[in-house]
Amino acid sequence: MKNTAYKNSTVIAAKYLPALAVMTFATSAFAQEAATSDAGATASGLKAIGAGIALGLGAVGTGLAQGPIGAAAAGVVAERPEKFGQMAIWFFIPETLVIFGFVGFFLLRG
Amino acid sequence: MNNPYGYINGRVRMMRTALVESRALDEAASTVNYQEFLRQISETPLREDLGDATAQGAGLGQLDEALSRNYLKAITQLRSIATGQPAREIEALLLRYDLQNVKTLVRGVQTGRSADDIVAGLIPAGTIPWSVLQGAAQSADVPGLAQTLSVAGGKLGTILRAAVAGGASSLLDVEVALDQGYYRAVLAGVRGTNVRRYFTREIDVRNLLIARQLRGGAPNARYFIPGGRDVSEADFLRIAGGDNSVSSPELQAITEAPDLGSAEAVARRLLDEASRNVAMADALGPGVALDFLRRKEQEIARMRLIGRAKYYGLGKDELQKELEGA
Repeated sequence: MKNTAYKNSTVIAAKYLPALAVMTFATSAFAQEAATSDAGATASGLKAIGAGIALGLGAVGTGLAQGPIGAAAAGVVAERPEKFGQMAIWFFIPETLVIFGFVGFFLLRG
Repeated sequence: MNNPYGYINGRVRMMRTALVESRALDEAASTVNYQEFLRQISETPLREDLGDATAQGAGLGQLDEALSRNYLKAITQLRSIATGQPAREIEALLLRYDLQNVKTLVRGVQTGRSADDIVAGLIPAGTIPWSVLQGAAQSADVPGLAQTLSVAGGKLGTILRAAVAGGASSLLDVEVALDQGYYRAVLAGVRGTNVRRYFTREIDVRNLLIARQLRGGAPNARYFIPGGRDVSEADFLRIAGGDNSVSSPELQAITEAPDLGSAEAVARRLLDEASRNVAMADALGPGVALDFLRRKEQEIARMRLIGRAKYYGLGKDELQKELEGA
């Protein structure tokens, strides 16, 4: 049981590590570019980090939520293809998380 | 995270919506005659499998065949959607049909019923092939039956053979040996906490029913099934000796029921409730499949009862009483 949990957490870490790494590098790249000009640019650098985190975490959250919903929806649609529309709505609801991330991203970049 | 039961339970939940609703069952029970009953059930999801049951002059044989076909289809579908560990867990759940079938075979062979009669009482589900069950129904005695089942009768066949070889002779001896083996196998096969909780409740209920059955004789610990939660071996012996008190107030209703028939009806209600709870709590585990199997079993059992009641013209009150016990 413990081994399975350990394996699962390793798999999860391996799955999401590249996305987190890209997010970190992208935000630090934004930050580096912004911080070179003057002291006032520190604020814009931090904003860029915040924008990256808002978008990245929103996307990760959406992925985490859509995994089990998608599996259950696939099961439901396999039995009742007419339920596809209803299941699609449930499946797309977590997309709001990434939309909120986008809103945060544009607010911070604006 | 990557739980295969998300997909499986999505499908099982949809299969559950295809079960006959309780309103339709009530309507079937209140029909005036057998023809009206057939017309009523041909409007339910069972209609696809009714086949010859609705033909002119068809009798209970055709109805039983149709219900068995429907049952088998549901079980086959459930087995087909699971692979890997879930498939092993669902197989463990299906062992309950093997248990019931082996008990039916033992009872039938011991009381000298004809092979056709025995086969009519079997459930076309479980892990033992139907041809093996049909062959086993031809056995002349219980040791012969155990010998036949030990070859291709899966876990339960092996358990029956061991019980007979160990000197189990009375029906209770054999049934308890089968129960003990079954619960040992099923508890080893399922890993979900909620499903285990359901089975520990089932073991407690079974122990109480056995203890009630033993009342009036010498209480014997060899009839106790280990693995329960609320009924210990000491409780079992005490209850078999005539005491009614149990630590769980829900289980108390079984010990206090006026007769064994009412105790069994109370036990069935408790287990229905437990299986519904496990289905709700176990969204990503085998609990949903367990609850579906239980509901399907009851649906078919009730349909058979109503069919018989209508065919033989049984009164409404008597049918109601039978249905409560089903």
